[in-house]
Amino acid sequence: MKRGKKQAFVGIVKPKIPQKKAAAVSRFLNLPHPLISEILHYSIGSNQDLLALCQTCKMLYNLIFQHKSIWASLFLLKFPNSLSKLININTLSNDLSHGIVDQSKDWKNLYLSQVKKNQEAQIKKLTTQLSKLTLDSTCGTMEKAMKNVKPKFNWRCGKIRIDIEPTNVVYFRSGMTVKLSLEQTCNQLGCLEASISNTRFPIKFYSQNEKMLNSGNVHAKKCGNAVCIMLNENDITFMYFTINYMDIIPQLTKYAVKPRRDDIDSNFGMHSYTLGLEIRTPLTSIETIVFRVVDFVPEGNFAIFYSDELEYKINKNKFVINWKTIAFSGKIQDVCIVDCILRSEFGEPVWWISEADKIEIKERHGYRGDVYSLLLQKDQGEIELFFVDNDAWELKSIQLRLSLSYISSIFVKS
Amino acid sequence: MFYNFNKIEEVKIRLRSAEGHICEVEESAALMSSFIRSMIEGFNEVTEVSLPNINSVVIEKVIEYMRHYKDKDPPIIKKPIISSKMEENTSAWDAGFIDADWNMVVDLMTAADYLMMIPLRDLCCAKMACKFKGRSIDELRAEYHIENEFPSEMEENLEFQHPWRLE
Repeated sequence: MKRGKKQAFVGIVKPKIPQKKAAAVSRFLNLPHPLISEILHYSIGSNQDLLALCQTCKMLYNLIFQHKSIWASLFLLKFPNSLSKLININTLSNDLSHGIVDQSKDWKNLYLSQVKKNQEAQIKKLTTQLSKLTLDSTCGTMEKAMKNVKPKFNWRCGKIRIDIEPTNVVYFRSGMTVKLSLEQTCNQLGCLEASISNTRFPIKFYSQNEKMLNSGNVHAKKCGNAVCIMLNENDITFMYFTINYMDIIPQLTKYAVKPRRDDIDSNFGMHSYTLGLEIRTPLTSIETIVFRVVDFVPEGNFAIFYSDELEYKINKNKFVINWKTIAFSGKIQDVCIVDCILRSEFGEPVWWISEADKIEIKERHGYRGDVYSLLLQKDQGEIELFFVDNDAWELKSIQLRLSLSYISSIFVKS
Repeated sequence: MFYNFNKIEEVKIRLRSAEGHICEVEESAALMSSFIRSMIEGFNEVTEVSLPNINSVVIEKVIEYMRHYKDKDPPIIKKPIISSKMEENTSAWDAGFIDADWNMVVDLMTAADYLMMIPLRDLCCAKMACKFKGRSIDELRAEYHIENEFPSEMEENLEFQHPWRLE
């Protein structure tokens, strides 16, 4: 491709380059193409680098996409085994080092079809693995699987797009935290998107319902399953997203909530269910509880599971959400995150939630003294944890309520 | 009668820069450049080579490289680079030598290309690739003054058009 020649794009307007910058532009973009191509050959180790370069301007985009030797080098670098079936690798390697490439082959399409093939195989493997694990209530297996899957996250709000570093994703037994620190404040929650292998999908927020978690100079607000830290009433500067693994897995494995019907009884057949619960902060686990025999009973328009006489003492200092940005740091007291997955007797996830909330007074002067509760709601279901203040937060009981309409809907499906 | 061969002065090649300055370099070092070699071998008794596209600062830098590798082969830098730090891609001397500002690296690269000094050209290319490594699109555009020519809708979709992005 010669410089100055019109590119293959439709509707190109001659780039408007300010006079002041023209000299600087000429330094790189005006280099002879063989030199730029040579630089690109040093950059092919990371697809992200190559992709970033090809998206900076049309010249680089065309150069990368039309340069056969780049694609041949990529193929040789990433899939030497597959390539050995097509061509003698040593010859190709030697030719490439001398800038020669077999022009008769469509290296770009050969490479891309190999990528596609690999990705399909990878997704198939992941899907099979996750489908099995979805039905496995053993603690920790989902966490391990998700760590292997390594979902990538990006956050978008208008024209702003931030790729979230893997170090800002923290995995727990049934949920994860995605941490986002904004350089410039933003007044909207935006959209969080996950991508696994070549599949990308938005993370649905349970709700956009807002609730203040504290007040003062720095506001902390809960918006569905996001906790937003704001410098004043609207300027979000930091966010924690709490995501249940079941918010992600069904989008990949096409899992639908359809519990098997084994019997019909007055309690909707909902017995011997399992409830896995993890109480945590965004970054550390506090307590994991698994209820092995969860039997529901009807009460009004709800099916209810209630368990009392629990004895879990949690240091009050642990119920805190910390945040730290370049500019400032802080914490909110008496707030924690609960990840929960309810499974049928066959291990099928039936209802789940991962959300943060504040412990609030529920009942004054009860027979156990003042009773505090943490209430989380999603999809016609809610889970409430009851605490008493006994120097530490003492978890005394929990109640899980699912609306009959929700139960009908999932059983009708099945 | 004894001769001290060490004292025999080596033939020097005079390189004339774009500004007309003369920089001298030993012939054995200058032969690293295929361009200068062809001049010397093609025209007997050539002792001055005019380099109208290269300024004297860059010529001095090229001479420093020539002298260092006069008697040995420069290390080969593997493609692609493995790190954004040059020390991890090549020798410490090379990394120190090329630790220059962007304009100097560009000048050196074009000079090396003109003089047909493949190892120096490769060193410059690798240095540039290091500067690009790990940078986002916006950082690249801002740093190298590249105008965004893509319509916004196209830009949004560009990344996801490429199945190799996550490979």
